Amino acid sequence: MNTELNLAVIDDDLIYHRVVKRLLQTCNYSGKLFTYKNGREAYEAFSQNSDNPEALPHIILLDINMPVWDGWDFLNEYNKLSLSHKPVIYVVSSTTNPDEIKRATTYSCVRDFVEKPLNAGKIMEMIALQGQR
Amino acid sequence: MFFNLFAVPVFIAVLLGLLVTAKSYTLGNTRGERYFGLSMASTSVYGFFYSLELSSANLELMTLFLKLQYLGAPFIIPFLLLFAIRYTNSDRPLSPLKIVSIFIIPLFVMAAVLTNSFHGLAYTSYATVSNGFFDVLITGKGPAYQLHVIYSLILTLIADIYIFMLLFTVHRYFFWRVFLVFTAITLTWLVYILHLLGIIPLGLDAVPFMFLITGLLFYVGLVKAQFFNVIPAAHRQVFQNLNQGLLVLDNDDRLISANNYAEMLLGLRELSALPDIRLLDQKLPGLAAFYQDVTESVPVNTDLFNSLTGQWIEISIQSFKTSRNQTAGKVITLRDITSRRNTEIEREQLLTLTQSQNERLQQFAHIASHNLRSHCTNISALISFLEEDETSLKDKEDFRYLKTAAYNLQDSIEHLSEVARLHTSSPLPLQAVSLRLTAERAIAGIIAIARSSDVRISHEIPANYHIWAIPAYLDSIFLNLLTNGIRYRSPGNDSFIHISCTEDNDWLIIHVKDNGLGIDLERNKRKLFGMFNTFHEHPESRGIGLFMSKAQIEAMGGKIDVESTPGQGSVFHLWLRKHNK
Repeated sequence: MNTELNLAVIDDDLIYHRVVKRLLQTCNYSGKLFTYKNGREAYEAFSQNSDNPEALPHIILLDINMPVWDGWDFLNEYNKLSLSHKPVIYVVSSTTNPDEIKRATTYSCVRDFVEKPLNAGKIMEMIALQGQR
Repeated sequence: MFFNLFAVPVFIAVLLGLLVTAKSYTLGNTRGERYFGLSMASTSVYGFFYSLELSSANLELMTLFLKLQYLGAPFIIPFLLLFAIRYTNSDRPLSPLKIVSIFIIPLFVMAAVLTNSFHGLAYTSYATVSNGFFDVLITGKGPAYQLHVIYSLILTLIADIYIFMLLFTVHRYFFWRVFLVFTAITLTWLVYILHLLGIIPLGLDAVPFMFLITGLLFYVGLVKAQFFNVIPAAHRQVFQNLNQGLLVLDNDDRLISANNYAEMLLGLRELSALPDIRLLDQKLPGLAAFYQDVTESVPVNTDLFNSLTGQWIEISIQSFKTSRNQTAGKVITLRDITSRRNTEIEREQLLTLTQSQNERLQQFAHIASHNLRSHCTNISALISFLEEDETSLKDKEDFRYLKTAAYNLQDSIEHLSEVARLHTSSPLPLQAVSLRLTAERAIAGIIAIARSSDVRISHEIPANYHIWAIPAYLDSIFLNLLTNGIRYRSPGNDSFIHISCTEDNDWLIIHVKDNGLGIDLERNKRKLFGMFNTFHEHPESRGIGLFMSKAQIEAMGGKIDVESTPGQGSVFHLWLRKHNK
C-alpha cells in the first residue's frame, strides 16, 4: 500500500466524512485525510497551501451538491490555482441525473465519475491507480 | 272557304299554346312542366279545329271540325290537374293507376263525340245560325257533353284549390309566380262555369279565348318569372340558413342584407332599420377598421374579439362585383369561434402545465433518489462499522432486524433510482444486436441458479436474427424474465423455461415460455406491468422487474404482452424492431 498519498474529501455530509475515514482505516491507509464541507472551503485551503505539498491532497473526492460553492463552482475555479502538484479529482455523488454525470466527465481535471456508495474496493483502486504514477 | 276574322285570335292562341308546350317540355318534369305542356298541347289541338270550325261555311264541315276538337278538349283539364298536383308537390300518393283513372271519363267523352251520329249522346242536334256577323254552329247538348263540362269543372276546381293552398305555404319569393298560375287556372275555371250556365255569347265558345289569356299568362310566367326556376329560392334558402353569418353592404357601406346567423350574432333584430357599417361597428367594435382596409383585390381575414359579448369572431371581408364587373359592395362573413379559441387556449395552458410538471417531477426524482441514497448508504455503512466494532451486537435480534431494514431500504431505493434514470434520461441509440448471443449470455449468467432450482433453460433462436435494441436494456429484460421464470416455478414440476422466436415484416417476436405458477390475468393484467405490484408470496419479490422491462422495451420502440394460465405457466411475448426506424 502506497502511504505517501494524501486524500481530500469535499462534501457537506459529515457522516460521509466519517465513512471515508473509516474505509481508509479498513484499507490500512496511512496518508493524511483532509475534509472540507464545501467547494469554497477547499479552494481557500488549497490556495493558502499552494506551495506546501504536505498540506495538499493527491486525490480529491468531490461531491456535486453542496452549499456555498457546489462541485461545479469548485471545478470552475480550480484551474486558477497553481499548486505544487496537481491532484486527481473524482466526482463522487449519488446523483442519478445522467446530465450531471456527463457534465462531470467533461472537465479535463476530473478523472472519473464515481457513484456512491463508496466502498473500500473503490478507494483502494483509486489509490493504486494514483500510486502507479 | 272564307276565313273568319274571329278565328284569328283562336289561331294565335293555338300558336301560343304550341310555343308554351315546346318551352315547357324542354324543362323536364320536376315541377310538372311536362304535364303542363301536355295540357297546352291538348288546348292547341282543340283551338286549331275550333278555328277551322269558325272558318267553315257549311254545316257538315262545322260538325266534322266540332267532333275533331274532342281529340284535344277532354284532356286539357286532366293534364292541368296533374300539373297542379306535381307543382304543389302533392303527388307522393298518386299511383300510375290513379293517373290513368283520371283519363277514363275524357276517353269516354271523346269516343261518344266521335260516334255521336249513332247514338246522339253528346249532341242532340246541329244547326247553323247567324249571330249577326257570320254563321255559327248551334248544337243541342246531350248527357256526354254535360258530363264533359261538369267533369272538367270539378277537376279545374281541384287544381285551383291545390294552387291556392300553395299560396299560403310558399316562400314569399315564390308568391307572385304561384299567384300567376292561380290566376290562369281560375280563369279557365270561370269559363267552364259559363259553359255550365249555358252562357255562350254570340254563339262563340269562350274557352279558346280564355286559353289565349291563360297561355299568355303562362308564357310570361315561364319566360319572365321563370316559374320552374328554383335556383334563386335555393340560393336564398342557403343564404338564410348558412352556418356562418353573412352581411352584404353596398358601395355606400349600407347593409343590404343579413342572414339569420349574422342577425343573431350581432343582435341586428333589435334595430328598426338596416344599419350601415358605423352601426355594425357599434355591435362589433373594430369591424369598421378592418372593413376600410378591404380593397377590390385585397380581402381581409382575421379573428376579432367582441368586447361587448366576450365572443371570438372569425371575420372575412371581400368586395364583390356585378356581372358587368363594377364594384357593387362588400360581403362580410362572420363565424363564432369562441369555443374553438377557448379550447386552443386551454390546450396551450394544459401543455405548459404538463411540461412544467414533468420537469419538476424529473427534478424531484433526481433529488429524491440522490438524497435518499446518500442517507441510506450512510446508514448501511454505519451499521457495518458498528457490527465490526461491537461483535456482541450480532446476537441482538433488534440489530439483525435493523440491518435487514437498512438492506431492504437500500434495495428499494436502488430500484427507484433505476426507474427514475430510465424515465428521465435522453434515449440511448439503438444498435443491431444478435438475439441469439444475447439470449445465450443471459442464460449463461443465470445457469447456476437455474441448476440449483432444477429449472431447465433452453432456446431455439437462429444465429442470423438481429434486432435494433439497446444492449444493456435487452440484457436486463432477459435476465429479469429468466429470474422470474425461476423464482415463480411450480414446485414439484419438471420445470423449464424455453425461449423461441418468430418474425413478421417489422418485428421479431420473442416468446419466453415456462410451466411455472402462472398469473391470473383476468384479475391482474392491468397491474402486471405496474410498479411495486407482486402476485406471489416470495421473499425477493419487489414488483419492479416487469415494470422496468416494459419501460425498457417501450424505450426501444417495442411492446410486451403475456399469456398465462394459473397452475400451468406463462408465455411472455416481446416485440422488437427488425429495422432501424
